[in-house]
Order: sequence, then C-alpha cells, then structure tokens
Amino acid sequence: MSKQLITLTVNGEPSELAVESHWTLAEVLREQLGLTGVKIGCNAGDCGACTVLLDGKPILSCLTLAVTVEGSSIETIEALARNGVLHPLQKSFLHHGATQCGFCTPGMILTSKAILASNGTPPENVIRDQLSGNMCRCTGYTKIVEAVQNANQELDDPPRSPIKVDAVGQVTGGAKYTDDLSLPRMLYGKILRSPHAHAKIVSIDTSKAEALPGVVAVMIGSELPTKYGVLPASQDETALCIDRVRFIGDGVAAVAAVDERTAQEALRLINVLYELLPPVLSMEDAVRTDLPKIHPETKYENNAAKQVELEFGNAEEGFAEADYVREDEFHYGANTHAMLEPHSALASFESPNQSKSCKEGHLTLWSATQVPHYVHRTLAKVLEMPASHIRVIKPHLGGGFGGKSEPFALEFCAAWLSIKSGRPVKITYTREEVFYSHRGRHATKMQLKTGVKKDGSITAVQYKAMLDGGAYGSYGLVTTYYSGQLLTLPYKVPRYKFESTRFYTNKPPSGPKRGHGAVQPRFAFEAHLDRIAEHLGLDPAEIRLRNLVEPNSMTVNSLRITSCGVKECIEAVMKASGWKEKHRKLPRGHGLGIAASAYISGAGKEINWLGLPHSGAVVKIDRGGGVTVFCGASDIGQGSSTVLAQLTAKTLGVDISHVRVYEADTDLTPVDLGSYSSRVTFMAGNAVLRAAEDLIGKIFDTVAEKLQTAKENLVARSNEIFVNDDPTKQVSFIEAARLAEAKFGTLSAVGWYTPPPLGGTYKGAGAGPSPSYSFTAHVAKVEVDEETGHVKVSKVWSAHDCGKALNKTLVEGQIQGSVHMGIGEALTEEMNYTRATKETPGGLLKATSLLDYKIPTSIDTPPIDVTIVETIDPEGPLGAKEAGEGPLLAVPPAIANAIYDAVGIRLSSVPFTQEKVLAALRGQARSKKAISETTEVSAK
Amino acid sequence: MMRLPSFDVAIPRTMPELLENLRPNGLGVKIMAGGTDLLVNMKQGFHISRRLVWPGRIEELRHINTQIGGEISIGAMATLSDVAASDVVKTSYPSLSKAVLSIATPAVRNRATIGGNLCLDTRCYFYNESEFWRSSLGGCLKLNIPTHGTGDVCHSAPGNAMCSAVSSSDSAPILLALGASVEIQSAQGKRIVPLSDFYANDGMRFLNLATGELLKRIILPVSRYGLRSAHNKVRSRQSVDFPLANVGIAGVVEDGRVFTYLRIYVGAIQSAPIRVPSAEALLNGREATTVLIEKGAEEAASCVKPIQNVGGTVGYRKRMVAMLVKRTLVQLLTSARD
Repeated sequence: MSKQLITLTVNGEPSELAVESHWTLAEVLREQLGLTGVKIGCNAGDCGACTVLLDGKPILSCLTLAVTVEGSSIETIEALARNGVLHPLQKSFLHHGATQCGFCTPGMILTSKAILASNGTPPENVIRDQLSGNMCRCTGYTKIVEAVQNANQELDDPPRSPIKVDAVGQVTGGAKYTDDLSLPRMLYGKILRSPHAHAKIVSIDTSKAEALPGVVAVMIGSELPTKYGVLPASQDETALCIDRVRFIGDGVAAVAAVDERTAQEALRLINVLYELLPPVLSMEDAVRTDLPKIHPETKYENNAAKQVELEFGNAEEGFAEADYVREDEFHYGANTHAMLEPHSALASFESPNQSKSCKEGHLTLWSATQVPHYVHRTLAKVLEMPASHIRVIKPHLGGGFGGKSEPFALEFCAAWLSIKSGRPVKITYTREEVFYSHRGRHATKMQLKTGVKKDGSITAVQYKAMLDGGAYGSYGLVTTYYSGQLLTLPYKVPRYKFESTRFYTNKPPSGPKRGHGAVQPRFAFEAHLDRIAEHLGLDPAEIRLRNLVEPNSMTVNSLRITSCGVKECIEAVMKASGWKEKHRKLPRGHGLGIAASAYISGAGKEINWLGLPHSGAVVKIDRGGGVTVFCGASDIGQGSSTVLAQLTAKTLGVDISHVRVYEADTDLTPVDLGSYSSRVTFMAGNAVLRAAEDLIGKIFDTVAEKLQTAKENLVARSNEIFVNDDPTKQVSFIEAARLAEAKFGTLSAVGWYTPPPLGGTYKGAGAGPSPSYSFTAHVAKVEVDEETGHVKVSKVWSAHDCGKALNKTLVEGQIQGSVHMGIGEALTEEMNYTRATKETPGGLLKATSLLDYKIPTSIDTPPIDVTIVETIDPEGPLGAKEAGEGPLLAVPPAIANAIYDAVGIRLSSVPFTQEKVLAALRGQARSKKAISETTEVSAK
Repeated sequence: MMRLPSFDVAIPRTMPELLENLRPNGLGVKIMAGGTDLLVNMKQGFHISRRLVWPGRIEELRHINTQIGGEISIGAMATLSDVAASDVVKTSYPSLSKAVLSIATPAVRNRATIGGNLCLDTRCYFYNESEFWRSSLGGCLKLNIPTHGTGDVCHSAPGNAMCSAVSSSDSAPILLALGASVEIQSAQGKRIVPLSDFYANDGMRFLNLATGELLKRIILPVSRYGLRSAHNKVRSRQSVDFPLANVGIAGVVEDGRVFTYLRIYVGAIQSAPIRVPSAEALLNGREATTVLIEKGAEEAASCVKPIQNVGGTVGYRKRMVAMLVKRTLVQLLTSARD
C-alpha cells in the first residue's frame, strides 16, 4: 500500500502529510506531527481521550482515518494557548483543580471548547451531557463541570489552594506520558498471550516470527527464569510463562519489531503447543483437592494461597453477652482500576563495549509505574544485572489506583528485548491487555456475625472471608490480612475473630485497588450494621455514633489511633444532607444511606522488612534562590509533587513558584517506596519536611547572627527572613541562603521518614498498623427506577478527616474521585468470565473494553459535596494524613443503605446492577403479595 | 495500541464514481460511513475488506430536507449530530431527534451517520471482541476464523443453527414506526423500499442489500395529523452504551384515550427490529386503560425472543421490553403534541 499526500490545516498551520490509507488521525497526529497531547486511552472510541476538533467539532481521532479529513481543519490541545497565553478553559481547569492525572484533560478541554462555542453559559446538565463521552477516572467530574461553567468568568481571586505544579503541562498537552516518548531507532514490542486458562507449555516455535522482515528480537520465558513477586513471601511470577500458563492473557513470548503492525503480525507466527489442564475458575473449584494446583509449591492441599486466623479476646463470650446476635452473608464482585493511561514501558540498554552482557551495560527504563523503586529492585533480580546499572524513571502518569503498583511483564520484556536488540524498545499495552493485567479488587465472599447490646454497642464481631486471588500472588498476602485486620475501625470492637483465605484461580491476578483489602469488608459491615440498627429500632447514624473509636486509643488488634475525626465526619454529612429530616421520610423510590470508614496512611511495615526508611528526600538551595526537591515519591496524578513543593515552600518561606520537584527517578531521587497504600503525603511529606527544616535551621542560624537576634525570633515568609516582632529587620531569602552557604558550605539537606514501632507482637501483627488513620463518612442519595432496577445516585455528601488539608482542592479532588470510583464499583463495574460449556472451558474475561467495563460517565456521577474535617495529626506533616483511598470505602454501603431507604430491599451482593435490583424488587413484591394474601386469609 | 490492518480507501467525489467503486470486482469492498463502528471491528481483527469506500465527500448524500410532496429526505451520510439538530427533523419528528441523541456519545455522533446506524453490524458478546479473545474462544456462526475454529457454533445459544447477533441501532425502531422508506442505489438503478423490507432477522445477513448496492437516503412520510411517536431505551449507563432493549412507537391518539394506527417496533433484542402486530391489534381502537396498556406491553414482550448474547439476561431484557412499551405508550397518551 503506497502512501498518499494529504493536505490539512493542523492547529492553524497548513500541513502536507504522506499517510497510508489505514492510518488513523490519532496515529498521524501523535507519530508524524508529534502532537502527543492526543491521548490513546482505549483506541476504540469508548473513552474520549483522543478527542480533537475537526472544523470546530469534537471527534474521536482514533476512529477517524487520516485520509478522510483531507482539507479540513484540525485543532489539538497544543494550539489552544495563543502566544503563550492560556485559553480561558485552560486557566479555568487550573484554577478549579480540574486535572488530576491529566490524561483525559486534552480531550475534556477540547470538548468543552465546542460546548462553550455553541452555548455561552451552559447549565450543568448540558455540560454533563456533552462531556459524557469523555471519561475521567480521577476527578469525579465535579471540578471539571465547575471549570467549564466558570470558564468565561474573570478569575479575579487567586485559587483557593496552590495549583498543581504539573497542571500547566496537563492542560497544554506538554506533559509527556510514557507512551508519548520515543527514541531514535526505537522498536515496538508486543507480548503473545495464552488463549488457555490453564495449560502446560509443551513447545514454542518462534522461527517464523524471527524470519519476518522487520522483526528484530524475539524472546520466550526461559530466557528470564528468575521468579519474582512484589512481596518477598510470594515470588511466584516470571517475566513470561516458562512451562505453564495460568490465565487467559498470561504472557508467553514477546517480539520487538520496527513498527507495531509488524510486531502484531509476528505474534501470529509464533507457534505454541499447549497441553491443557483442567482450569480452576472459582473459589468452589479452588477448595477442591482433585483439581491441579496452580502453584504446586504451596503448602496447602487445594488451591488456597494464604490462610489467616486470628482472635482478639474471646468472641464467643462477647456473643453470649449480647442482647442481639446477627449473622449475614455478603459477596463483593471483582472489579478493576481502569485508569485511563494503559501501562507502557520504554527501555534503552547501552553497553560501552557493544557487549550484550548485562553486567557491563546500563539500562534506562521509563515506565508508567506507581513504584519505580520496586521495579528497579525487581529488574535487577530478574535481569541478573547490578541494580547500580539500572535507572527507572516514571514519566507523567495517567492514573494508577493500585493498578501500576508492582512490576509487570512489559517492563521486563521491554528491557530484555532492548538488551537483545541493542535498540530502545517500547511496549504499550492495549486496553484489553490492561484488563488482563488487572491486580484489582478481589472478589470476596464474606460472613459476618455481630453481637450488640440493646443500646447498639458492639460486644463482639466474627468475620470470615474467601478471596478470589486469580493466578498469582501480587499483594495478595497483604490483602488477606487487610480484609480482616482493618475491620476493627472505625467502630469499637471489644472482641474480634476473623478467618481470611485467599485462593489461586485461573483468572487474571487480583491485587491492590484503591482502599486495598478494606473495601469489601467495609461494605459488608456497614450493610450489616444498618440491619442491626433497624432490628434495634435505632437510627443508622445513631448506632454508628454510639460505637466510634476515639482519638488516642488502641483497637483490640493493636491498631494505634492518634487523631480521629470520625464523629465530626458523621455529624457533618448528617447536617449537610438533612439526614434527620429526610431519612425514612422521602417518597418511595428516593432514599438516603449512611456509612463510615477508616483507612491507613501508609503501612507501618515496609514490605521487605529491611528496617530502612520508607521515604527519603534531598532538598537543595541554588544561589539564585531556587529550591529543588528530589524525592522518589511518584506523582500519579494525585498531586503528591505539589504537596511536597508546598511543604518545602512553607518551611523555607518562599513562593511555591521557586520550588521544583524532581520525583520518581531512581538515579536522581532517594528511595520512596511508591504511591500506594495512601502513604505519600504522610511519609514523603515528613521526609521532605525534615530536609527543609534542616535547611531553614541553617539559614536561621546565619540570619540570627546578622540581625543580632535569637534564632527563635525569626520567621521565614514571602521570600524573606525577618524578625517576628520587628519585620523591618529582614534579609531576603536569596541573601540569607548565600550567607548560609558561605557559613555552612553548599546548601542541601536530606530528610527521611521511618514509622515508629507499631502494632502488636502476634504473628500477622505487621499488616494493618499505620502511623495514622484517616476517617470518612458519606451520605448517598439515590433514586431507584422500580421498573428498570436502575439506581441513580443523585447526590453524595462526603466528609473526610485528612488531619490537615495541605491543599484543599487536591483533597476534595481525591474525595470526589474516590466517590466516583465507589459508585462504579457499587453499580456497574464487574469482572465477569465466561463459564465452562461443552464447547469451551471458560475463564475468558468478558469485559475487555471500556465499552463493556462500565465506568460511570459524567451523567452517571452526581455532584459530590465535600466537607473536610481537620484533626491535625500529631505525626503527620503539618498534621496531614491520607485522603486518596479512604473516601472510597464507605461509598458502596452508603448506596446499599440508601437503596433500602428508597425501596426497602436489602442488597448483599456488589455490584447492584439494574438486573439484581429489579430481581430483588420483584422478590419483594412477591413476598408482599404472599403476606397480604396470608393476612387476608387469617382475617377471614 | 491496536493498529488497523492495511487496506485501501477509495474516496469518490460523485455518485457515478461511487457506484463504479461499488461494482462487484471479486475482491470485495466495504462502504465506510462514519467508521465509528466499522473501524473498531477492523481493529479487533475482523478481516472485513482490503478496500473501503468512503462516500463522505458526496454532498448530496448529506442532505436533510423537506421534499416537494412534504416527505422528509435524509441522506445516508448525514451525521447523527446533524440529524438530531436539524430543524426539519425536530419540527416534524422530534422523537427521531431524541432517539438519535441517545446513540453513543456526542463526539461519536459528530462522525457517525444515520445510514451507518441503520446498517450497524449486529452485535454479540462473543463476537465484538478482539482477535485474541475470539481465538481463545473459537469461531462462531457469525465469525469463521479459519485458523481458530469453524463457524458452526453459537456460543450464546449452543445448538442454534442461526446467528442471533443483535440489531443495536437506536434509529431503526423509531424510523420503522414512523413508516420510513429507504432508497437503495446501485450502478444498475435505484429502488425505494419500506425500511421494514430492508432488514432480515438473521445475525449474519441482516440487511437486504446486494453487492454493489448502497443505502442512499431515508425518506420519512409527510407527518400525519395527530401522529404521536416516541423512542425509549434501556442501557446501564446514561451515555456511551448500546441499548439492552429499545422501542419505537408511532400512533394516533383519538379523544385523548384511544390508540389507533399504532406501529410498535422492538429493537436490540433480535437481529432486526421486530414489529409486534398482535400487541398493536390488542391496543388499537380500545380505550387505553392502564390494564390495556399493560396487556399490550406484555403481549409485545411475549412476541420477542432474546437470547443471552449482549448485557442482561433473557428474562431481564424481556421485562424491559414490556416496560419500554408501557412507558412509551403512556408517554404518547400524555404528550401534549398532536
């Protein structure tokens, strides 16, 4: 197929381009014109990230052939700012904090531009409707809608909180994500995946693929046989499968070729011979002992991966003491992160002697990861290469939510293919591969038994969980513990017993997703508690208030509570929602539900138990007054770099514009364990704070001498150091820094954070303790369509105790995003698999696109009202603790409880799909009918 | 990124040139309208054709106007956005405008066309998946994958001899209810057929369109005095999603309480929109009481035969048909417009 010349106007400039007929506009814009602000989130028209304007109208460039836009005018995000001045929409997005990871932002802004062009002051419902093809996974849309509504307003006031330090790049298309990077002579890699859920690999023949022109390197699993896993205790993965495949989508071989189409073609030429094994597709299968073990090396007879049993106090005594004991069963379906940016890794291996020996060369890996440090460690292990020869860099990241918090096959494959070929290799997953990579929420079956006194006070809780872990360990050991350990918050549980078992199954591996381990039991417990309250005739809010843990206390399983504002959270959402006036009082079909939760601010124990700091930072001051922060913490869109910049700026008394943060680069930045477990603000924040305090101490020493005052009298603010009670005595920050440098030498300082010893002494006490816990309460309002079963969440009121909101806009964004994700989990998102039939063995993931995996759109996500509760944590940086994950936990139960308030059905299985709701309503109608018939009979 | 396989694209500038391009040549050609569905399928490795013809440059295929006789004519290449926003359509048939606005997303509608939506490939859980996915499952009736499986199995309903992939167009049921016709043209000439004759209830060959033929335009009859119409759909999200069930109903309401001339079409259940004459007969000419409407709705649901091949179980989708018919009839009764 020969290329043809087309002319079109791109961003106001006439362009003549040679394109092939089958190239999409997205490919041409990104790869020929370098306009990488055009994002590819799904490449199938389901996410809107690739939106561009075609003659002023938004279209999807991934579904438009370049040859069909000849003569047209195309506008991408890159051209929105004119002569260096941002477009009002771009300014408004910055001002309102409407970007988090920024991956949806270009498409979102371009669509918004078209909305404003046809409707100067659109109402909220029009904006939500018109943006409904642009998925955002971070913000919950609330701030985006605000930004669009107010785009034409003059922005007189400064923004309430500092603007994200990376946001300008996000709104202009300048931010480079991993897939936006390319290097000279770069090859494209692809991974061949297993079509079988469980099979032995008999042989792999790659000769035909190797012979295909354009293919440069091919690899199979036996080339990298070293096992790895993110947790030291579950090293059960290899870069590619060697002798056995464990789920449909497991990697088997990989190729690198001159372009992606050739790589795609080469995969078809690899011949793998499999010997099928019976698949283990459910937890019912997994408990059987007559099916093959997925990991034969485990100590269990069946496919259990980890079993935990712990008891604190005597639960039976507690039940005996209770006035009412209730038992319920719950199920939580599997769901996944669906971050908009697919995983991507670019590897470049350079060897001084043209030698392919790993020992000599140096490898640089750019990867869309939440955990550069773990990727770094694991690459060294698997590649058998000195870690000192490896550099891992996380570029701008398009959302993670836990889905990028361990090493993935593409990182090893890109690296190894680069080593083999001597050329840079980039692998970007397709949306379908992202679904197979999974590591999301474990499907969980749960049994709860709770004893209460008449006044609602809890006497004992017993919990039993079965977790569907999928094919590999991932963080599953931790999930198994968290499932039970975190259930003792936020209510006082005087006696507690739990049993938690994770199973291997032949499905994509489950792992950590926002609210790791705690989301499923929190749903179960909050729904359970609502039923208990009803039995006792108590207001559901009241039973919660009566059982709350208190500040500076210890749970029965030795979790140390310091700051705690859960009571304030519950009271805040009751007030904001008009709980007392509305609960149980709305017309049928409308209802309110409440739930509360707590979550860790980072894990007290580092996963490798090495006794090393969890986070480290270097802060240096330049002679020009610039301050540079180096910290391994990964900004994954949540704004951690902004928070670190703020902490530094505040401590040194300089404007935040003078602070630059270099993050997540294993060569440049001290180790931070990564962005997971809601640990970054707390831990990296403390590390940076410590370094900045060290520096300001030196500066104060110097200035005190010069101004002839005591160090304690000095204040650093507004780029000056001055005497507190006589501000005329001052030295500029730049001068102060120079004086300090003259006195102390080059100005830089290190800081680090290691949590204090926490937790009990029993086996398993390491999982659950955190230096601090956040607390949340939500009230959800729903409208249930009793004819379709559709549940519309029409409003959510949230209150969250984050200790101290270092950046209110970012905190609100985290809460609103968590609520969005919680609504998706509660109503529409689920990982389902094909069942075994006569024709097929089953185990094939049914939703492998963003069309079939249903994340809520801007129409399906309600306005989310946020109250921030501040409790000033004694150990958090300036009193701060987590906000990124905790606010998700109580969303599904608040919705479940609201559905009950609306229509009187108790749902025990997440998600509450339309179908399940309708079935429950029909069941209710039948039993009502039966009751009324019985009553009639007895009346006669 | 999933890359498209290589193919040629012909972009004719005139109708004769277009028809010339469509002439059977033994290699097969495929017309691409908006491409918003076709290109997804091609990225998923359906080996549709090595040659696409895109009629997007032919102005006459994009018209929306009122003809001399009062009929409304819509060119097949008019975009869904243009159809929905057209004053001609909004004035005479707002129900069509509303139905079109329920399709996909705003950006898709700016590119997707009304002709493309009427010719939308039928959908199935086991079909609209990637090449890898299908290779894992094996071939099916609708999709013969030479290397991976023969085409004699239906994964939705093992034992079925005929493919039941679902007609998922949101414009078809309402256009059918409104009595639309389509003009079909080939190098040999043109024919105008009722839209109802355009469809076949067969997941594989769901269009009565011969090789070399093209759906040129849609013709809506003169809006009859007193005709009311409405479209409704059920889906899980309020944007993006294809329908789990939809209905298009048109009819006259006499004295504000008696339906006559009802045409009820149920879409997204079988391989073509299904008309339910027995339900129409039950409803026509009688006072539209709640009981009668419910009976009519149940009758409509009993006439359609979903299988489990898109989201939702068979039972749920049948119930949704009854609900939609009921809801739409009530809407017709209470709508102010005559």
